[in-house]
Amino acid sequence: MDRLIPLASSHRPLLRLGLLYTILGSYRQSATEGARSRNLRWLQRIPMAIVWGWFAVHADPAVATYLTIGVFFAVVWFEAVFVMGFSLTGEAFQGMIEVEITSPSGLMTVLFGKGLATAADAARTGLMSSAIVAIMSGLAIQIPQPPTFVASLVVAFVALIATSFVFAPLIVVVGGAAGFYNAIRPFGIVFGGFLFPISRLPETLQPISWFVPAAWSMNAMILTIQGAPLPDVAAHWVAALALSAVYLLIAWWCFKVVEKRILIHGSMTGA
Amino acid sequence: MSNLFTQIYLSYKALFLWLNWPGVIGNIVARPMLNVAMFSLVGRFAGHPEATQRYVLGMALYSIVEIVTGGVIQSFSYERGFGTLPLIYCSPASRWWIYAARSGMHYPNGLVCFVLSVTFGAIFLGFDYSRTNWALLVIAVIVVTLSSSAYALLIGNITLLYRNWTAIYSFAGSAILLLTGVLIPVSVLPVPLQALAQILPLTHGLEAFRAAFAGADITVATDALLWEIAIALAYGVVGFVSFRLIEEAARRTGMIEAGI
Amino acid sequence: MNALPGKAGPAIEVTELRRVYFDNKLLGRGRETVALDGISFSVEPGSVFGLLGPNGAGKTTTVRVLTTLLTPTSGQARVLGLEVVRQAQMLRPRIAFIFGGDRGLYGRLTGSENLRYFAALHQLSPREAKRRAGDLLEQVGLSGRGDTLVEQYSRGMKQRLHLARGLLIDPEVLFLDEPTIGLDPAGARDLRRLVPELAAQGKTVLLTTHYMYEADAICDRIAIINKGELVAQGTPAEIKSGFGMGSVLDVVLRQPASELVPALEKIEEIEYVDVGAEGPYPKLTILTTDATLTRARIEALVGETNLERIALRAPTLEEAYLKLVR
Repeated sequence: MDRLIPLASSHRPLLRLGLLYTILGSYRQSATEGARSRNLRWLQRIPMAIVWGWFAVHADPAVATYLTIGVFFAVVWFEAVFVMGFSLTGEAFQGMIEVEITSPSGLMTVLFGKGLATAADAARTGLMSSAIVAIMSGLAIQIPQPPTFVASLVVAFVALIATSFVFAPLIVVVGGAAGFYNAIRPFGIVFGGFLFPISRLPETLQPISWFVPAAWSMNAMILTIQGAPLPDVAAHWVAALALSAVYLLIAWWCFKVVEKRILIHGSMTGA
Repeated sequence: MSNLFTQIYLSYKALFLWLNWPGVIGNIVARPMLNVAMFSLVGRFAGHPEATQRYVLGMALYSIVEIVTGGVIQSFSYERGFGTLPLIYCSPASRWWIYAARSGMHYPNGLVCFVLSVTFGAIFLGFDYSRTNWALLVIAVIVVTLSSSAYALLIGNITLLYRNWTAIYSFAGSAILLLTGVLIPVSVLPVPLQALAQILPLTHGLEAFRAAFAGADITVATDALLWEIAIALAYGVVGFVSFRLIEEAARRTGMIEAGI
Repeated sequence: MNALPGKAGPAIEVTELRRVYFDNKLLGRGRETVALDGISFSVEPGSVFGLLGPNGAGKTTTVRVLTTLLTPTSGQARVLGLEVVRQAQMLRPRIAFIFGGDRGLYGRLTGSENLRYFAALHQLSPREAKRRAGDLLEQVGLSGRGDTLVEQYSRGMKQRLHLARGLLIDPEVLFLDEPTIGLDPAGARDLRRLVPELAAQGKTVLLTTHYMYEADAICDRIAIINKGELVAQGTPAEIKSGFGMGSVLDVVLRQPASELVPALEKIEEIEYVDVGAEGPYPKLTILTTDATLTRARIEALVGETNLERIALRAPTLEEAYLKLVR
């Protein structure tokens, strides 16, 4: 075997592009594997989309619009939290943690790229579900202020990613086991405001939603649909993004705990 | 008989991977209540306040299907995943007992889910159960639990052929949710789907259950209950025959460890 | 296979390394397991060092500490002069580890895609990653199978892909943890041939193995670890001939003599007796510290009529190893 050509100094990242390369590589790996896995996840969501469409059938246009948009986020949440939540344990099961933990980019960056791929895949399923609801409601959708509406969508999507992503290390840190997501998923839908405004919750339960980033962005959505002034809407964007940053910080801390456990105890659970 | 109880207990302990505190709290305690909350609140928001009761009752009974199906499917899928399926096929044990044992311990789970759902509805959503015919309600719940188990056992056979049990679980549950009147009245479904609904578990049991909640006499719901029992028996027979056929096919084709 | 001249300091230096695992209980710590009990060794740059030991001896724990995946409880470990805990971030781009087996690769990705993913973990640009993947697949003999899904690879191909993954960043030190386990003889032989070539390029290789002939054939120096302690280290020849190994008597009998073994084991000079066969004849392999005395006693016990042949030889590495770890 001839001597391998040594790496040129250009492999050292300029302007921290290295982190971006890692995210891109992780994204590509997760997306490719997901596409080849034949999990039919998109097909599994069709019955639920029809159920939500049923609710939208005789609703007034504002409610139908809310449900059409909300179903997208409900489905993204439903998919993303489950897949992202198991991502870290899945990597450990496949024997990947050792290589990923020694990446110069860090374990969190590696998993974040995979999380983005999960969110993108879930978004496709979400769009399909929204389309079903929109068709069943007779396309009775009203979107005033489209630019503000689109911005609200983006903020909501970012909030969703942040909220789902925290579960990847959190479940490992708290020792959550298989099946737990069957409670987390509906919890997020109920308190995230995806399918009904938070104001519809019993008053005693509404404060729980204050800690869910998506709930703020869904409130921004409501205000946009109602034609509220931009400052009012923007205040909710800021709250959603700030809370998302907090969740990402929690995720960062949890990843540090996981890394420390692996290095000190030799296992993710610390046992 | 003691062998049967041993199989019931040990297959539950070995193959039900939600049997841990987070799994139990998540699947048996929290999920049913959250589902009841979710659908009733969406119903009210969408302008169906009169139908909210319908949704709550439907979801309460559906919670039985959800947990029983999830547990039973796992016992088939993990039997294969852990590599113990060939040992089952080599054993002289009664195939009927092996088959039926997989659902034994999931009946109590289904009943717990149901009780928590209706209790949640009473406490947090203000549902009034004062007119309920409790005897009819209990019979309806027991019959639905049996038909759900028979359905789950049949579906479990599919996981011997197709590895992705979560996808199968999702489809099996969605079919019940969509087609049996849990949320959407059967009468508004397209005619072919209405016909399909008649042979699915829960459709008739749900009729009896809603009649019980409305305080109807048992004679009003007798036909529905008998239909549900017949469906349970039919699924039980078809499921067991499928189980045996798959075993023979696996021996013949060497596909015990193979599959999609 | 000599160490590179003029290179200052060992490539790997382990001093009184200790690693203890605790069962974590709700209140305080539970049972303690000592995986490494104060081991010390060093590895010269550009050499191949073998770490041998039975299952659970501490080989993998040693490798995990040296590859910055596990922190030691006490003691010190340096690789390329860098301390494995405090300077882990500086060390990681310069080393690679290969744990092997079926895990550690994505079955639904191709060989090329797997390598490009790992290259991205090391912050290589997509273009550089593609180039490296192509070069390495060719180097390890997988260039024609780079676009095949890994789940369709044979065990040997997967191991070669693991090696390619380990060479992605052109590391200075390579850690191979039982690289040939589970491989067929041809696959294992091919992999073993690569190891000296890596050392010839100036890389330092530390490999753990169960296979004595593998260590004997390719390692410059060996350490034998048992129950967390180093029981011997040196060149294969030193270990075979030194440390009071003694000699081996191969005793071929004409008839089974199972009652002989207990009687032989009572002889003080005999370290151990292994019962085997040579063709149709029963064979006893006896490690002894005094071949002459033992031979006389065997001849007296067995008798001329039952003794087919008795021959003296030096112990193999495996026999030396068995003596050390029993």
